Amino acid sequence: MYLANFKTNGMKRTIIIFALLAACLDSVAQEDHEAWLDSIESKTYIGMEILLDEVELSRKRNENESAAYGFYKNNPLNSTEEVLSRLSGISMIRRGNYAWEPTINGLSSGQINVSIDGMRMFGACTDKMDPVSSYVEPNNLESIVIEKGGGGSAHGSTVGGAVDFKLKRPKFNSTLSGSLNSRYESVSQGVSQSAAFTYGRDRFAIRMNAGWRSYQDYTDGTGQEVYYSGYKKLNYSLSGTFRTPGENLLGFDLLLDDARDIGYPGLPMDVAYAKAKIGAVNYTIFNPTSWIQQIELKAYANKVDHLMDDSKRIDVPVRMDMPGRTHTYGGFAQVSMQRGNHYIQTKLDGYSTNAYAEMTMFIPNELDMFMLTWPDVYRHDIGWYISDRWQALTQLAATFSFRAEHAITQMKSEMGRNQFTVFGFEQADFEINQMVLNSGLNLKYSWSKQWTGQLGINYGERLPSVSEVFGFYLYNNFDGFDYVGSPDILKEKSTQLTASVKYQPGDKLEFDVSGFHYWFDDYIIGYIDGSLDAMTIGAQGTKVYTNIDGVTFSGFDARVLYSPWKNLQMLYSLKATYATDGNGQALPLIPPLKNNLTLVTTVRGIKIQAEGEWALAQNRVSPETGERATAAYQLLHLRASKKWDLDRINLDFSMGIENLLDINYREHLDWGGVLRPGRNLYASLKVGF
Amino acid sequence: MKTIHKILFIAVLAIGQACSDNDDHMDPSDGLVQVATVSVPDSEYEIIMYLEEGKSLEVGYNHYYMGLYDADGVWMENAHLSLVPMMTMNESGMMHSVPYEEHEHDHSAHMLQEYGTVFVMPSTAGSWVLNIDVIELDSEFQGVATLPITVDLPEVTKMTSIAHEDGDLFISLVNPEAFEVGSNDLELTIHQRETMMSWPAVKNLTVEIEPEMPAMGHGSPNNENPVHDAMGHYLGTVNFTMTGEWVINVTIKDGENTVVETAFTVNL
Repeated sequence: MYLANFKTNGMKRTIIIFALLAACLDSVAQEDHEAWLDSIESKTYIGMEILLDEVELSRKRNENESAAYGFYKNNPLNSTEEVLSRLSGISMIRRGNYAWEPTINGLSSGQINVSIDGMRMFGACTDKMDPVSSYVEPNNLESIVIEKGGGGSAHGSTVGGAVDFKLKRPKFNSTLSGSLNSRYESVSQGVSQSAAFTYGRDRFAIRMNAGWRSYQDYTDGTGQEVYYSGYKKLNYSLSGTFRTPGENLLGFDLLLDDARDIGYPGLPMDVAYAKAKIGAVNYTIFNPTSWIQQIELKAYANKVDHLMDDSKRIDVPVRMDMPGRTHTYGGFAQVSMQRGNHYIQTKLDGYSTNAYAEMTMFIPNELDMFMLTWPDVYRHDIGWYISDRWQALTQLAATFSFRAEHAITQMKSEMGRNQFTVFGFEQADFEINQMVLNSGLNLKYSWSKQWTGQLGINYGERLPSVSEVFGFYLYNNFDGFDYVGSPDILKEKSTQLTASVKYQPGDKLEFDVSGFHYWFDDYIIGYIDGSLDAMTIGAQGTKVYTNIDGVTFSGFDARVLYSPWKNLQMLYSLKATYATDGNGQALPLIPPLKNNLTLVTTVRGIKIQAEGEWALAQNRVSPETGERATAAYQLLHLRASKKWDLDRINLDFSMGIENLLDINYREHLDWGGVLRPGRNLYASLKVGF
Repeated sequence: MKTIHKILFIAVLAIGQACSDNDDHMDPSDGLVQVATVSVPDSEYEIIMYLEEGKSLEVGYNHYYMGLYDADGVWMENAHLSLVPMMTMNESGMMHSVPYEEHEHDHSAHMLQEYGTVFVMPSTAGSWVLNIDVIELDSEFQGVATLPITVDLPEVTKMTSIAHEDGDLFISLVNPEAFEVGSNDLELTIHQRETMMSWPAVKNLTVEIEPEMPAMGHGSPNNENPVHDAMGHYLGTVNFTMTGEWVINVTIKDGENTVVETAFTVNL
């Protein structure tokens, strides 16, 4: 995951604000909602300061903007990767040093939605090597909104939640300003550079960003080089906003991302290139009537091209090329309104996406072997969402949310359809109509200024992913099986109960704990089909996606923020997830209990941060998938930073040592038993003007 | 699914039939390619042999068509051509026939007469002819003709012969050129050489197939073993999951006893 991997940008560290918006008014439907806003307070969210501030005030300012809110704002030493992976409920699946995939409460890929500014986008890699998050640069991001659970989401039907990356908007009435960032890290001789410029007049504003990174293979805690772990990447973006005479906003975004030679030590293949092109136009109308606050219209298109190959690998039984691509077009209209005590949001959205991937195996002097792994699959999807947050009493807020979505999924390739006749499917099976519903009710009650409690019951359904429906012998290196989709797979359904309690006696202490329990019907999982040979050399067999009942997920997380005196802050967090199938067997890729303690202090203007990270061993593994247990580990990180405000420029220098003790470790969600980086010394400099 | 296909097929045939009934002048050789021709002695008739487009006569099972035409090139739909393929071998001068089949000629169907023949060697080993008996019912003409033909060796073998105590077995894969990725109808023929002139179809054997991709060491799922349909033709299903070189392993059993194990290579 790219964001998580980000360690470069000084700017990000200086501006990240952690807003714990546990019952954020903005996200009416979620039982838990956290946002990373890099400048709520700078009033530059979109640019119309007064107007938007009103919106902000009504939507985002709330009593939760407390000590935790200020923690990361004041202690911005964390890289985005650490911030994300430390968020409650979030863990990262790691296949290499690049493009980590987020999981929410143990749920991943098709079970959660990842979007960029509300745009649906789909990775083009059949092996999930390019989650959408890998195509955005952290310094293009204004915030990351995380929604957990399946109670009805503006971002699409889901059982697990959503991650939405909000892009930065340029500011009106600003002089030319910009920043240059450089970073070096020792463990991979990694260098990254980026530059950002913004310029705004009364009626228009524009922002540009360009970044370059080059990372070599890194060294793990045993001093061994981890081969095939380097990568290179270029990213450009251009955004503009125009203010119409009617005080509405017309904006556009263009993003180009071009990563090359990406090594995946956890996989038998690497990626020659992963390229994304993203374009969007949006139009926002403010206060068309007294009770409608905002209408946002957006149209977008994106394209991802991805080529997996093994040309850099020395020892392979056959050479393989696996190109893949996705195209997605979509749009939405979203209306926010307030009537009395009701804050209502509704959204009509649709997209059409096409996924195509193929595999060719080459043996000298033999016929090429070719198959379609995503046989030209189209999905046309339309959804409607509505939520109502009702402040029933001063102490009680109730949020109801509902989403209905209909999708047609078609396999267009004749060869692909022929491939599936091998399993006895007929032509009529290659067009699937599915309707999914999500709804939820969440209650929040404040007994007193100190105590707040929340209770939520949600029901979520999700569409099966392209791979789960029409994937054809997709090799998964995690368990060593080929996976075959099932055209007759059913949608996954989940009923979810969540509860949380927060205690905040004052500015110095904040404590909150939340728990969840999810029941699944028709949980989608790959089960071994002994009658099917694996197509990949060395694979252990073939699994076919099937629906199973009786899967449950449960877990909790807790956080304590304590500031005994002004110059010292402590944040402790703890999270754990437990997942089991109907027979009491463990499900794979469930992170173990993990906790984290961060201390921050300032000495003579130098901010110093010490962090400890502990994870228990994960011995509760899924034997059927061949999952391996992971040992416990403890890590220490040390960071320091200092800022100088000079006449025309400001400087921000930071450095630190990650994995100070050079511990030899891996996290449970890491693929292929590949160890994580050993001791890493990094330094970065940001020059702003 | 198969039943539905059969019904559809019959329906399509019926529609095709209905259409052709309305058009007496439709050329029955439409879509076919002329490969050999010979004049019928003592008449003005000519015999024309046709193959499906893109095909040539090859060692293995061949499906072809013949028709009798008058001097004006009009097809004699009430003619009947029955034939015996004969090979004269180069060095020994020995003559033998091969397995052949003549499909019942349905005069009302307005179709050329169809034939099947398993050529067991190419023309490089000798000379092939079709000895043809001609009967034209309208003019009550009877005659004989000899049509010389050329049989090539295919790029990929589609017929194999196995020594057997009751006479060698000849196993042919029908139309493997049509195979593609996915599920395919598989048709095999089995014949036995009783004498040089007698090559009857063998109808009572059990056939098992197992496709395999030798370069990758895997097979394919849900194949159906061919079972005897008619005239020594065994019908089953073979599945291919990707392009490339496949091998169909064939085991032929008589009851429980394995008679033959052989294999056909198929390039997709």
